[in-house]
Amino acid sequence: MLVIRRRAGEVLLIGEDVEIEVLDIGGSQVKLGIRAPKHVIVLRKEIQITGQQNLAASKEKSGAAVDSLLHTLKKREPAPIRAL
Amino acid sequence: MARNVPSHCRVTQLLEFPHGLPAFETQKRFKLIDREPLLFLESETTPELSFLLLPVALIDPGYQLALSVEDREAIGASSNSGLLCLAVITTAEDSPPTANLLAPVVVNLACGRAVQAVRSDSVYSHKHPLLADEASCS
Repeated sequence: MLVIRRRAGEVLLIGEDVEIEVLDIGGSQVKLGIRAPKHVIVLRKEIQITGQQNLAASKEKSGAAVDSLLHTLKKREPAPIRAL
Repeated sequence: MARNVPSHCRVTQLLEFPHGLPAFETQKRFKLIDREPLLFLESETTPELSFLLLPVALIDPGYQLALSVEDREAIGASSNSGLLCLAVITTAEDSPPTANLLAPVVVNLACGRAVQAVRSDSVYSHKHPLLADEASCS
């Protein structure tokens, strides 16, 4: 992995038409500004991971897998379901 | 015909996902079907598309989520009351089932709007093993 140190206000380039600017550094977060052509997809990585996981989860579920899951859950203690 | 959802289940609520789900951005309307303790999320327009869900509290009673401002606005939630937090389950023939605790589905029961709230931290796994504590049992 290429590692580059940049300060707030500094910019780096990826290829010819993607620009990433460090807008602000504070606490545990950096704020980045990204300039890229419309056809370049810019995505938080966790959204890509979730998309891939959703694709896997949307595959047809076998009755046996669902039943075995139900069987296991029924052996457990009930828990409140409306909690964040 | 829906291949995945058993026919004797009842439709609990129609849900609107204003942003769809990651990888399924155009799917905005789902039926939430109750087969306690499991739930199914079935696309209204594409019935063969469905997800298996479990209440997050059933998987991890200590699970905590701070909804982002954007997600909160998407489902019109001013507080945490009346919110249902569900995990998408992945089942596969060749591996044990897992729950996506990185991105729970949060439903506002009052208005039927829902969002898949993707966390920015890395506290929870997108492949949380569901039966870990029973792996040694047969």
